[in-house]
Amino acid sequence: MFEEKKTYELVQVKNLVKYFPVRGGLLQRVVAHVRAVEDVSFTVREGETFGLVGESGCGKTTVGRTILRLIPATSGQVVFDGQDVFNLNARDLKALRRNMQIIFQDPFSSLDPRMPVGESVAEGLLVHNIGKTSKERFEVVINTLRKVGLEDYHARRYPHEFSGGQRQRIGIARALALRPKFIVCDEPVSALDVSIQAQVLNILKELQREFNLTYLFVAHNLSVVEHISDRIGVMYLGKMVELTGRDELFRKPLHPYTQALLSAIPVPDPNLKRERIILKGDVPSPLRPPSGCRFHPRCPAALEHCSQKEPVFKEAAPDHWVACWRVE
Amino acid sequence: MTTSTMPRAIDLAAAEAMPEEVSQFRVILRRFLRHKLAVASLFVLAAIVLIAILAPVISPFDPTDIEVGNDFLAPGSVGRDGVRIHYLGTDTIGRDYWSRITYAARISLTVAVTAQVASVIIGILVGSISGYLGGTVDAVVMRGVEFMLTIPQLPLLLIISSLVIQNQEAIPVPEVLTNFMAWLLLIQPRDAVQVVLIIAILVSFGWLQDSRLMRGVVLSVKEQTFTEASRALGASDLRIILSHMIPNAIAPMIVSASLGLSGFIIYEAALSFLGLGIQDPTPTWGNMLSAAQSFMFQHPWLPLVSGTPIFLCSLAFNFVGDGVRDALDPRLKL
Repeated sequence: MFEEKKTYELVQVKNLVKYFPVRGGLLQRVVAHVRAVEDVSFTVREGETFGLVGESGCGKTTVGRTILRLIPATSGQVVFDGQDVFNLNARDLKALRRNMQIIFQDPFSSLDPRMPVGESVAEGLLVHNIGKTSKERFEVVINTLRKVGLEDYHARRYPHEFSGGQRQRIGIARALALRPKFIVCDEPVSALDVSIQAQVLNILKELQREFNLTYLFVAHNLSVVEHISDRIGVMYLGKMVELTGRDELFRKPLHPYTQALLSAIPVPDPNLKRERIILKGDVPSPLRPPSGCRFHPRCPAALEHCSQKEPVFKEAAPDHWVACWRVE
Repeated sequence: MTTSTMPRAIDLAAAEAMPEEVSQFRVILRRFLRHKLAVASLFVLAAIVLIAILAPVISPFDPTDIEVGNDFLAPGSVGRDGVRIHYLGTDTIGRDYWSRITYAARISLTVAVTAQVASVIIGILVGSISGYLGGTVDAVVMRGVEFMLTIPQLPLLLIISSLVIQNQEAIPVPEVLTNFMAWLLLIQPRDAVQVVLIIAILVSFGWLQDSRLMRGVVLSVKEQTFTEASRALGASDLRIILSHMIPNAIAPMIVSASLGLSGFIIYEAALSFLGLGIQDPTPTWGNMLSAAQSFMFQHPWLPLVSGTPIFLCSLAFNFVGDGVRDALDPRLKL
């Protein structure tokens, strides 16, 4: 029974593509596309935390927002709990939003400065007509605030009266107030101090246990992802390059990019001599991604045909997917 | 020199001694009270508003009653009935100047305030729709607004005003509006038509700036993450506009409105002064000044008395606007 629950695929992302048009010229015609997400597929199992890592601009945030239909996808399919998210009408989409929420990176712009935080947390309740009276809603708000470690009297205060960590908790409370099944955590701790990061991560973990939440955890900090994730997907320039369980990924990374990323994690031991894989050059522009494998210009292990043919995303070992010609 | 005698940017001791719960409103009020000129101006405005409200009580004469032959009486002269006193004398045709000034305050202020409120409402509507929808709608609406703003306003106001005032019988004005204005301003419904028309003319240009301001706020709020959070919660566009955009626009709107009021006072006075605004016998500061200017050298008292409230009001509204802006600007933490 428990096993079965663990493997229920709550969110299925199939061949997700997102191009942002670049407009230019006098007539604002579309002159090019930023290929932010290209053919990304993965599933998030109920109750797990799926970590999505990659450098800035690799499209990981875009994946999170397209899944929630906050930005329209170019093509692909997202199935949430049996419902095709991109083909829902307005009413069903609104109903679905109760079940999937998002926590944002920036704790400063994610709260309305002119709204007491209690009202921010209650907004979702109002939208979905949860709680008949304002008193009932207030109860829910207070309970939710307590869950994230805030006090009752905080509800009346305005965002500017809080610290970054507290605001992030308010953001969590706002998402949590609807009691969703699935939360996209869009780099929820990257704007916080390290000591506060741990607090917020622990709150997220506790809430996951208590409410059986499923997380899509977007981050660029591998230590954070390692701490919280069950499975991890690694993205590079709009493509998923490797996807596997956390332990497997850290023990036996297959993709050269993942290997380079892992070697860059700082280790708090000054005497430790490590071999670091230093990548050459910068991330190419997603406007014109390289041919073949998108990683080939920087890959220390590139083969000749890497620049011509795109590697297939395949299962190299049980539950370990990778897109690399080196891995057979 | 010890540090305790040095002026500090922030008084830490005072900051710590501050009570735990300080409401937004009290913080804003405290900042406003620090602005001496604004506070003084507020008192001036309060006095003028009080005079306007109490006009029928504190004016001994009917503002339209003519004492034939008693024109240009000196201030303090006794009226024809031998009892009532013309505190500020009489005007060119023997009407009590003080009574006319107080009734004019009622009319001029009402015109300015109504025009400003209507402008803000229209500005909020147009600005938020245009900014929120963006794209073609926004481009068309805003180019239209910009086009209208490039036209010099006073000459255009004069032309429109003269056309409207000449053809005022032909323009259908809802009777509810004229009756309300007549009741509020204690004038004849026939004369109130003009007041309504002048307000409409002022609003037809007044909303332009407000709509641009609102659009600016909407555009900036739209890019904030909390708007995206609202959409993720399932909030409708209308809810986002009502509960996020408009509250965020209130502070800049209040500032713009209080500064704009002085503009409306001046515009109304200018139109009336040039004879294209509200017409005699309905008293306004502008048309009183206009009537008095022909006799400026013989009776300098008259233009001085009718010009002063225009001057005071527009200055006071400006100072209050400044004070409100400084008080509401959250970046200015003193």
